[in-house]
Amino acid sequence: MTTTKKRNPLAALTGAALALPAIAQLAHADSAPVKTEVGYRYSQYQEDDLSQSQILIGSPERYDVDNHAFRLVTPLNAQLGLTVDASYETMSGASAYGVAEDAQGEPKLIMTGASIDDRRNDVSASLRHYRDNGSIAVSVGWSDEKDYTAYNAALEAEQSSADRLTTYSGGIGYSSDTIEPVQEAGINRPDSEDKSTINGFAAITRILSASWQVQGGLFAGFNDGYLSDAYKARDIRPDERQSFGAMARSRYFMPDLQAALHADYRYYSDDWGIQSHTLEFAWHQSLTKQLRLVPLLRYYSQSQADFYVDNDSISHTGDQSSDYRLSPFGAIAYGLGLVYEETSWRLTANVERYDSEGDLALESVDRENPMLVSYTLLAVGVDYRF
Amino acid sequence: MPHFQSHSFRAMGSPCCLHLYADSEQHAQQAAQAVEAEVLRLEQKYSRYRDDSLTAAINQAAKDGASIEVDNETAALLDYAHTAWLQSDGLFDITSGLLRRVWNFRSGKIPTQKEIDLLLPHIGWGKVGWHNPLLNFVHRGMELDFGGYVKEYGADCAAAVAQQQGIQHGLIELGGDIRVIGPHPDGRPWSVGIRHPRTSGQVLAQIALTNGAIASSGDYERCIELNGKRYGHILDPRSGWPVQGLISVSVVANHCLLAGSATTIALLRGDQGTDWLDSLDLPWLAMDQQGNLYGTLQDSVSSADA
Repeated sequence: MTTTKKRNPLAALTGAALALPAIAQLAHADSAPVKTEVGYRYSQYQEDDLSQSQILIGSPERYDVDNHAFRLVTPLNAQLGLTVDASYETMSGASAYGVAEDAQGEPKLIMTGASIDDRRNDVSASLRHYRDNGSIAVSVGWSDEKDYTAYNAALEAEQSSADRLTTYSGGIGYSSDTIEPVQEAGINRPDSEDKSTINGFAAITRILSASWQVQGGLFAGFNDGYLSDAYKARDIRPDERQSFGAMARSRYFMPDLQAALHADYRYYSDDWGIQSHTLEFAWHQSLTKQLRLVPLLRYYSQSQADFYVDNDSISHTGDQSSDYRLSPFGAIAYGLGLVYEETSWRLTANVERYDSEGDLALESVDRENPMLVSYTLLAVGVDYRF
Repeated sequence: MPHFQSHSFRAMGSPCCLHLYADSEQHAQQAAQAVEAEVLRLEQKYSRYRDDSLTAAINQAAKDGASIEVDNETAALLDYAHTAWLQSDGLFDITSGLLRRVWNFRSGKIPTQKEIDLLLPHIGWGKVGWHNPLLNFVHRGMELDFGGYVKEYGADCAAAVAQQQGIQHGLIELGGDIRVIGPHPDGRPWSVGIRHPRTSGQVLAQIALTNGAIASSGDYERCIELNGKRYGHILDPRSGWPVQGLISVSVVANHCLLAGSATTIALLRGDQGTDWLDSLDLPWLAMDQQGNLYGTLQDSVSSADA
């Protein structure tokens, strides 16, 4: 018999309770998966074609992506769960080679002549260990395209308070990427370039009441290496990028309506001068025991990078890029999701429409980048548990 | 969408209810039966009202001043009782059940000091020789009672069995002691009501739980009222008299056993109960005889009492 008098009373009682078989079992069986789940998701991403008036040279056809994603989640033992994700993606379309001013001084695109065809393979595996009130996960991944290879690894942990009303989570990740651009006669592209990324996050989730849950978090990232676009005529970016952001989420359940309102906000800022705001609302409405409908609305706005140029004139010196992703713009996305869930299987379907424009930005934009995308995303999926 | 089922039964002298989400009606029934069987197993093993229980065998040895060897589960429960006894400065005492011979809360009668004085020499865990796995009663005429914590332990065992049966979302209620196995399937927490100690049928507070346990206790459960004074069922093993101080305590913890013993020790400590609860760093709510509220869960109190 051990003398436990001088210890913290909760620690002493917990220690004694953990000697009881049922409690020892519960202490780690918290939320490890108990069943195996396999899933498949097909999605089709289609960018709207450009209008002929936006193009100086080249094809108006833009990116189409078909993605097949597979997932396996399985328990290895009472404390250990394995998740494997694999996806295969085919892409086709043309991308911008550069932006030039036309006779009227308006920015117009020069598109790559030939349609780009590429495929991407992506595999990642994650091992999660569940213990008292928390879990810790390690994951590794690999992604491969004709001209691009990436390896990544991450560590993540989650811990809940004794009352399970507060959950702390955090993680760090590292990625090492290599680009070997496809060479074309007469165009000067680098042979091989590298970049690496480190990122991290920390978040607190708190259950405020039976119907309200909130989460707040911070994230940061650091990129180092070749961060330019090798396929653009004049694209020279700094070789470092530091980013920082914060996010807030709310989940509010309305049992009387059989519905839940999800509201998310995200702020992002980096030392390239980009700041962005994302606000998203999703309404989860149960129609029957099996059927759930999820309409969503998302707004996005960003400021431009310090070295963003609205045309690739040779008169610019130093860092410069006409990439639309570095331009000032705003976007609105709206969509509808459908979930049909039976005991051992689940069907999902989603459609989303996304439009980005200079006029949608919070700040006024004088000259909108002609490459800004609008797309339609369709996805269907099936999951099976056994 | 998982199948939801509630299953009620009676065990350990209390109404019990299981609320389980399962894959199918058949799965829910199978899980509920297994959980009920586990609770009944503990009742049969530890009941002080059954002649065939282990408690009866232990108490036969206690009466005779003999020794008895116990199984692993009982040994762990005795170790736990010993720890709780140490941590409560001797207030949590599984030998104090003997006082029930003179304190009959159904009779409405207060025992005399003389009746109590006759029992006190036979009370005190420190007088029992406990050397796992051997219980040695050097002092004749004692009695052990697992009733002070076996129901809470039962809620934890029930949750373990439900999880073994593949239940990931559910709530187990054994006579007011609650153990949660994961939130509702859509992620919503369970909303657990704490009974108002003075207004029957009214809820004092609503607590949201996705996991873990909550135990509540107070003088409202069983008591004798005489000449305007309330004598609750929580008895001080040193004096043999009901404790005065807090009238209702609820504690949230990982395991129902911890929540239950934290609650009981807080009541046993009387006016110092709130200090003990503060020292545990667990969420809690308490009310004293004047109706004052204490604890970290005061935000959950229904507005009329805030």
